Amino acid sequence: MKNTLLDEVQAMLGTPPVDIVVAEGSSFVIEDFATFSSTLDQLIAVQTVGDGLRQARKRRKLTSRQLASQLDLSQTRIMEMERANTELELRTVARVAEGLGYRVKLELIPNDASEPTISVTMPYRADIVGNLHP
Amino acid sequence: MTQPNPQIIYPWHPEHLDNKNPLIIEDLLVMSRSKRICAQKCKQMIGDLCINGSESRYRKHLGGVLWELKDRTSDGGARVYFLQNTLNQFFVYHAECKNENEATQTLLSHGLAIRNALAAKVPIQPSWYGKRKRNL
Repeated sequence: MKNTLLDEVQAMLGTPPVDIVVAEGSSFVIEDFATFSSTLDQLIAVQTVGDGLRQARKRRKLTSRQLASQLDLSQTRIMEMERANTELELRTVARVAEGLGYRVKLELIPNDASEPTISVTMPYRADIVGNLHP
Repeated sequence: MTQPNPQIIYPWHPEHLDNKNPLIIEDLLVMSRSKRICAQKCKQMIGDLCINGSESRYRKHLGGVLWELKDRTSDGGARVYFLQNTLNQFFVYHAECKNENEATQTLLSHGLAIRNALAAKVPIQPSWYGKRKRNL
């Protein structure tokens, strides 16, 4: 089937325009560009965080199973985070980063370049515990 | 007669409706890892298609039902593939970034699979799409 379509592509290139036929009663979702753009940006953001966590884990030479066991999370959860296959909670990202010996730094970069960037670094949980129980 | 506003549809491959995202999103996610400028250009060209439809300055005809949006970037040639009909509907299905001046035919063949699905009233999007918030 796929070869047939490839053959058809080859034969079609350079031929005059032809309209596609949409069968009566077909239905599909028409998405506005703002929704498309926002969804894509969010998915890229989640993917970027996942890539960062995977990079950090590999640097520590840990398997996802070892990291999961260390943090009392499921291996599936770790793998889903790294593959951008799940919603990311900042506290879970911080927890995984901590488990790998990193802290999470969040930068809020304004669209208006004349405004300053707001940068916050999340403390280690040990620091939080230390503050709560001096 | 006034042309209706452009309508953009993001199909799945009709044989892979269980995938998480439309084909174009999957392509742009992969592209954004190593060719971010090209991915941004693809997104911008889709935005232009949403506004200008058939008048988009990036639009080029490849042959038959096959169309593309095309521009150069420092990452390479940004290309977005789509189908269109006379109702000003655009089915945007794949994107790629490459230096060779030739579209990848496997990607174009997915456009024909989508064309066939549309003609046969076979779904090109999963039933949940558009009905609930996408799980990010």
